Amino acid sequence: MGFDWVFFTELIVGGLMSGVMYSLVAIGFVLIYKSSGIFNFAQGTMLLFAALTFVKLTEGGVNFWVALPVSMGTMVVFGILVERFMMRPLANQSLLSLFMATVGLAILIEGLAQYMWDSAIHGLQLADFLDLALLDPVNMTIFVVDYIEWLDILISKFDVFATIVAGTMILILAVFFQKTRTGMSLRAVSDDHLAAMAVGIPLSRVWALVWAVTGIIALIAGLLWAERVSVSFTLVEAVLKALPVILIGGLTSIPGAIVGGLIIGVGEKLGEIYLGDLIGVQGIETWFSYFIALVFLLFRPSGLFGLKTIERV
Amino acid sequence: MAAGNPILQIDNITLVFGGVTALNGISFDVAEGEICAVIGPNGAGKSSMLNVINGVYVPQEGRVVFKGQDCTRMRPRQIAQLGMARTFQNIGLFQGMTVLENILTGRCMKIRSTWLEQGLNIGRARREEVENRRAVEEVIEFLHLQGIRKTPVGKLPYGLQKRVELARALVAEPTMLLQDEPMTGMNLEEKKDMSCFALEINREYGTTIVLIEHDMSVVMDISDHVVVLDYGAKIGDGTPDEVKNNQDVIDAYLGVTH
Repeated sequence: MGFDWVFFTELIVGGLMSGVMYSLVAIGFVLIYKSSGIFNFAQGTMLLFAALTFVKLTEGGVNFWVALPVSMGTMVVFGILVERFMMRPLANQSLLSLFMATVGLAILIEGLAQYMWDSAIHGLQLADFLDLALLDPVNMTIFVVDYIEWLDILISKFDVFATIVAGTMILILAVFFQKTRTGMSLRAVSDDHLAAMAVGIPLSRVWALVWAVTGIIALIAGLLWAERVSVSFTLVEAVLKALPVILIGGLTSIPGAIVGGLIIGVGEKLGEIYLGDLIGVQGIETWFSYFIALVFLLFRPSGLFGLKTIERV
Repeated sequence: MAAGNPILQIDNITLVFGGVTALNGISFDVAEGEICAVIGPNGAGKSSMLNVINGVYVPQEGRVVFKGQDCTRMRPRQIAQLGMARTFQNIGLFQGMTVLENILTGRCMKIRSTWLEQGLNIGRARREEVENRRAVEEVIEFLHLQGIRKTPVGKLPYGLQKRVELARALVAEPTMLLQDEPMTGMNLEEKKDMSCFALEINREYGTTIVLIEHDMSVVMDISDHVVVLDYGAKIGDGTPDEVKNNQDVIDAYLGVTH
């Protein structure tokens, strides 16, 4: 019985790369949860809104390198508005009220996206905007085809690009929130608003920052993901992929989101191929990640790196 | 302690929640460098008073003047920047963090470096880090918290948590320290420790302390000045001896026959 090692490696690499994408989306959830103590129901629609903004701009003839910062700016403004009109009036209210506010926010953004832009499906070929001239790590030559061959395995060039972008984002975020005092303020705010204010932590600024950063994450993740599923309301569902990730990693941990993303990414690929064959069912990729999460939760109810029991989702 | 000029002036404060008058025209001064205790039975309005001083509540009437500045409408953060630190009745620690991290948050107003410097650990960030660690270690030693630096605060017993909270307030080098029932729920020995710390902080750093206490006996020994509240009104104000012999205060605490 010959085991196809090359194919196996291909699966692992592919899994790790989609895992990085899951991690990026999951970090968006984690940041909001850490700072506000709530599960942000509006994450998916934020992804859609950000990607739509970008797509409509470029469709209107705006240059890629202009559209990107403009979309980012839009998400920063969005973050500041959320702090001013949602978080600040609801400070010290029950967490359920805050959670319901994010549900309302989701509906609002969805309506707004349709009103400002439209509800049609937009194709987004990010690869077209970018001259994907990546270096071949082995031969040091520039890739010319869509798929690259490396150690006898095929990897999509766009996947490599997406992984590099998402990975860089994650790295910057991790350093920012683990190493700087802002990261500490973030944890302080989520633990006790009143005490944080009394210590002198600028509550409003921390919240605005977190929502703005989450908006930018939504933009990047939305663009990278849109390459596969196009910019439409299915993008909102794409975010569901991040749910098992944060269940595994724990809602409060950025490293957890990274590890969780990689586990899910690799796990669902391996499950699809090997387990699917074994039990004779196709397409288990769609639900297998939830199964993995369930198994993890049996042994670690608060996730791998979670601090406390997950009370509200 | 030699009482100096008033550092905090409470001028005719009235605070109303719906139909309940929590504070009714309260005025008193706190002199620089003294230990002032605000005492009173349950529901007297002590915590409300402290929350007004600290900017959590905005009173309907009256003024709070701290270091000559009207801070009645300031937010807690602005007041903290003026040099006021506080502890909470129900312990306002950041449960997910260790003792060390909790105390470090107390230094957050001393930070001038940008997040970029902090992320790369260069420039001002590095100097500040050294300075902050030094200040934290000093407070840790002062309050005898050496053994539990790395312990998550949630795992500590109640009495120690209160002490960590005090450390966090102290590390900000405040000119005035507000303590909301620092000794409640403690045993006799812990109460003694806490009283000693208050006295030492006052002597060593010259910090003005305003503390709320339920239990009169502890407070009388360490305070220079005692203010007594009952049902939202001030019924006594003076040195511990004066207050002890005040008939209204005795009535409020022991009750009177009607």
